[in-house]
Amino acid sequence: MFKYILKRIGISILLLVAVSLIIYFILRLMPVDFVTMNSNLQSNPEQAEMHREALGLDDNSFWGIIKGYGKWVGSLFEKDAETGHISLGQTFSGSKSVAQLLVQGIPYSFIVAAVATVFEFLIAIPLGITAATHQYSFRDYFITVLVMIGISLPSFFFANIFKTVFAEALGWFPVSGAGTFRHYVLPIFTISVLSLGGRMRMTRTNMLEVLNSDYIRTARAKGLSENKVINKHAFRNTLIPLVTTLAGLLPSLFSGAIITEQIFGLPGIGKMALEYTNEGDIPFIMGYNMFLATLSVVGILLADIMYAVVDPRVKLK
Amino acid sequence: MKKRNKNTVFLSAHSTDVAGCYNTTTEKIQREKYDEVVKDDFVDNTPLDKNLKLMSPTRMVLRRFFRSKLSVIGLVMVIGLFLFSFVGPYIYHALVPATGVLGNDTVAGWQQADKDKSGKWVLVESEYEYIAENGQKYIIKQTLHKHQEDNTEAGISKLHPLGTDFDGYDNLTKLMYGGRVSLIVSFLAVFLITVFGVILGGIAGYFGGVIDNIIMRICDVLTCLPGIPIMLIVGASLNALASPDPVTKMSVIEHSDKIYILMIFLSCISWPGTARLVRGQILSLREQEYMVAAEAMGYSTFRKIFKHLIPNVMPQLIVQMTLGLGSMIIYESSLSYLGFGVQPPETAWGTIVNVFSNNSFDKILANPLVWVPAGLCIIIAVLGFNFVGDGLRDALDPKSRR
Repeated sequence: MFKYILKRIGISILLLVAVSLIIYFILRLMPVDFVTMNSNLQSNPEQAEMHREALGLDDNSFWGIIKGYGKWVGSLFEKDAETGHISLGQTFSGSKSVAQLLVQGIPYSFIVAAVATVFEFLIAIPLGITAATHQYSFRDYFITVLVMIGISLPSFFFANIFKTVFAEALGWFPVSGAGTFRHYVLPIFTISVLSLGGRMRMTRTNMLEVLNSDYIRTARAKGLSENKVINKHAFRNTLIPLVTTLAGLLPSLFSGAIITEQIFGLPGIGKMALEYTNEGDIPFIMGYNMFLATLSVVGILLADIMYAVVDPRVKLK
Repeated sequence: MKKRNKNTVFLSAHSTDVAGCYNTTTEKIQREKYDEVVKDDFVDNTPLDKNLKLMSPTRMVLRRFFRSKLSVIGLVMVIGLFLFSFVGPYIYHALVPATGVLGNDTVAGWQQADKDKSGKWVLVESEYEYIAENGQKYIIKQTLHKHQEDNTEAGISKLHPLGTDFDGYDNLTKLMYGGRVSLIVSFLAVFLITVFGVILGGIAGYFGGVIDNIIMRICDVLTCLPGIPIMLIVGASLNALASPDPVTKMSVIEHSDKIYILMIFLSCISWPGTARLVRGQILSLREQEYMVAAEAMGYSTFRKIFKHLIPNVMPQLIVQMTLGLGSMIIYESSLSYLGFGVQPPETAWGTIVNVFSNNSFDKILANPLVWVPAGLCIIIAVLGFNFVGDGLRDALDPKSRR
């Protein structure tokens, strides 16, 4: 097990290097860069060239890009003058380092995502189980249709309607920003409603699979009450896949919801990413994307380990 | 239903799927005949009745599919939207000729780039500051009844069944043409993802070894790429390329092409899911006897992969493609919403909903006809594809007995 984890960590690091190279190359090979996107930097061609040189964007040959990549890797471990911690690179546009910006944005995104996930699980699991135990009944169809509508709602449409109705027309919640408890209600509600469907569908499928298995028939045959069959024998086994997805949720907890944050004006990491990406700020974009990639690599690894922990039939090697 | 299930046990020696193998017109007749057969079977021990036909697998799947109400509803929704977007404009043009409004009697109806130029009277408020001779300031408020060239924010009328938007474009026309972009783009992306996935997954699964390892490691890397942020990067630079150069007044690409380039890029990074599915299936299929037979017949590798292995993965692929269409529509409209899609006068559904980002709240709330139909269209499309996909999954699953 320990050896397996070590090996996986090694592979993950290689994976991250490959991912960062791809993203860096995409960023550099894009026909526009930070200087062309900021009109005040390119008043005349010479000045634009000077800015490019200062930012290390002038050499777009293969080796130039590799050199730039090396510089970026080096800048990750530089110390931030302000905080004294690792800086993860200095942004092109501002005085703040990438690490500082991430630390500043993540709490907002995390609060929203964490609370939404809790709601999602609390609502989706009971609903999924009822739908499965009453398969093909009116209740099942009703829940399925409701959930499908939830899956099919585009976040931007849904969030905008919420904002218009509850924040602007009725005035129950603030229109944008963060700070008080009331600022978070609408984003949390939006995200949980949108993610409910998938989770519920998963619970239902798992539960159905378990309910059709032999040991459930045995449990019923030996005369256990239906309550005990469902809650003790079936439910526990549906938890296996649910627990593994819990680890897979890790990235979504921290990555921020770009569209939802933008609509509700939440100063989270998703909104930040949208702004900096539109400016072409390479250090921040790299930092943000690698942060996400690292989270998803860790998430996958955790999911595999969790799987072995929860399900004794699975052996890692 | 209950009765039939009970009897299934008796007949199972003769047919594998009792529910599907009777091809008679109504349920009632079917059941009566069925009881007869059961009786005959056990009294005389004769083979199955001659006028009972076995159904082909395709018909069985279709029958299972159409038995579920939700999948039929989904199919109707999807076909309806297709007709609306691709045939709708012609019917609309025939029914509602925009005669005279454009100052041109021959115009056959609203096109995408047609603004309603019939004009409109609007109230324009303005303020002036006036300093009198004694030094006192006065603010003069003026409300003018002004004639404006474009007929914007028009209500429902014979000429505009859904009114006009903030620029004077006809809402219904926008909705139809927007649907074309959204649907075409989603189909394109799903098609490309499937092609990449089938080819690479097929090769990886069939050959195994080093090739498999290389392709699967590429899959791993692509899976770790954060999808939406990368699309933001590409979208932002496409936007910069599409906006005209300040000096030459020329742009490198057209705004209308951006969304296609974006979705092609998206398919290039999101094929691993399909590839994994195909590979997994082929890994188990290639060990089966019929593949040994194919080997013995001396078929070429190409033929073995694409004629004998891929068709067996088709059921799962079809399901995944249908469900993928739904998510691609959401993807496309989100990108359009963020401003990476087509630009007016061209539209996509997501672009229409984008009115939220640059109009005042009062204006948006006063004109729900501008944005509500587009949002509903997106929901209907995604819902329809999801219903059809779910129905197909149940129908194609040989284990499901409903």
